[in-house]
Amino acid sequence: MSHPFEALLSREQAETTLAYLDQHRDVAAAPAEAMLATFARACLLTDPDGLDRGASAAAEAEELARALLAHPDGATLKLDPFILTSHYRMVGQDHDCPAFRQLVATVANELERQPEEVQRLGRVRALRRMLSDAGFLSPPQLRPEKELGLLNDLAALLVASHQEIDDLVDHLAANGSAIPAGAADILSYVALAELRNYHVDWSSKVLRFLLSMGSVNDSVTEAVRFIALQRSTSGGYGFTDPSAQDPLSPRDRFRTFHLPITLHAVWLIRLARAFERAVGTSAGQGPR
Amino acid sequence: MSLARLDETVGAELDSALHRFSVDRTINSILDVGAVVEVLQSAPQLPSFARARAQVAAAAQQWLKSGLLPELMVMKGALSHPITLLVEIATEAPAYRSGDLDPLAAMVEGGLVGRGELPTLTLQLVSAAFSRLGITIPAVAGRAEDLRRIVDKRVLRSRSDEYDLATLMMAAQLFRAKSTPRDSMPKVFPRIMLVEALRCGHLNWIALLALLNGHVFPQAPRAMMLGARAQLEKAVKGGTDLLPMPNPDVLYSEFLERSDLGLRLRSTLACYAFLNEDLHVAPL
Repeated sequence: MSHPFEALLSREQAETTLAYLDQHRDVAAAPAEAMLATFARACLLTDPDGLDRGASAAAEAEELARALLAHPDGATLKLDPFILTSHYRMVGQDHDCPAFRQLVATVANELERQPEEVQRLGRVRALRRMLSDAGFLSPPQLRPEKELGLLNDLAALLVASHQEIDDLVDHLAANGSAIPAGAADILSYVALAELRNYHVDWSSKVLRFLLSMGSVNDSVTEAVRFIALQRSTSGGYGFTDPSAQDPLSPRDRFRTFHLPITLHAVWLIRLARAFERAVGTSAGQGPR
Repeated sequence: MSLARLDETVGAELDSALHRFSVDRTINSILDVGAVVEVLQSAPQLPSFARARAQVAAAAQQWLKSGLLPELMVMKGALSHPITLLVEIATEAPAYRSGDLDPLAAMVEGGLVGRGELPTLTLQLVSAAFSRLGITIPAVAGRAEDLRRIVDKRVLRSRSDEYDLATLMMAAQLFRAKSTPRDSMPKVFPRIMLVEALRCGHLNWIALLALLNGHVFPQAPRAMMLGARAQLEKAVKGGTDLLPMPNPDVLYSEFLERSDLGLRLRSTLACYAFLNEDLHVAPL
């Protein structure tokens, strides 16, 4: 069997990216950046096929959580609950992280307080599923797939907006059920097409969903390669035209461009390798 | 407008373009006709193309016999691709005789045309230099598998413009010339290009890419074909003219020259053929 994701990031390259991200972990200076940078480092450190230093990732997560809990503007930081919960699930499964657990518990409490109509939203249901998997809340109520109209009209799915597809992916992730093969194929084509136009945040979310569902085809493989190839010698990801005048300061360029792409790249590479391991260890099950 | 009316519109516009090429011989008129012959030679000989093929073949045979095409090959080396396609299609004209090729054959023999040193030397030079440095460039030889890989790997580059469309059409022409089975042709890149076009409602590209995905490359999923059909049918029904130009943000490429009317004509022809042919789309 071929291993299309094997050579995406060597250990040496992972170390360079780890060091690149280490310069941006100061919570006091920039909490949101520190959260993303620490999570990206966790993706590298917890990869069994990569650096495989889970204890270091857990220690960094705890350090981050303590700093965020103690931050004087804690209530107004507006940190992304998906990132926090994903990060906790990555490091908290194998290591005790009490401060980080406390931080994620605040996310769970906040979600529980939301009115019922908010609880029915795809994004909130998906978050509840993650918090349920991490042991914080009960699972979301099932939403039958027949109610998810786009699954029944693939031509409409092909041209659906980012928001519509986001919502579909969230509901499917919340249900935890397999996605029909035809819909998975369409999503993979759309994700790669949008990735080529540098809608990295959006495409990465769809690709993570497809990888987590084991729905891997040529388009998913190429999409992961696409983002893996955005790597520069600094260890960060995302190319800019060196001959063009950059309207952003180096810091703003890092914050709005390089850091998000770097996180998406290392997160996707980790998931792709996990998929490859799962396929390799379950006899007879190959990528579709 | 109806499909029959669309066919008439394309036929009339094509006649005008062929006449302008005969009379004016401006770069734009050459590019207009070149864009049409590109699409004709990219797809199989569909019944929907029969009239356009006959129109272009008859005109091209006269230009070949009169020496116009060989002269252009010498004087306008950058246009050697569409001119070669015109020479090829000229052989389908009833008036064509094998002697019509003699002037061109003599020029090839003399080394005046058909050489294109710079692209060949550039590729070989880059490959040789990298090879000395221990970096191997994948084969650019003529194997179908190599060509499929080169085309499909274009998905790893961001953004698209007319260069990508030209790449797909040239690949289609090459695969067809080598009688490559459809399932050995590229499929990822043509599909991704169609998805991009469908998502932006980019009619000029949808028409061409639907034709290529439906009749040349491995057939795209049913949803893509149905999506393309729906957008094109709506455009034709509500339109009175040729399809619009490509969107401005993807029109221009630093690598090749295009003409406005040529691009509208080629895509309207592709649109007519795609909608008119009975396409048995593969099940999901």
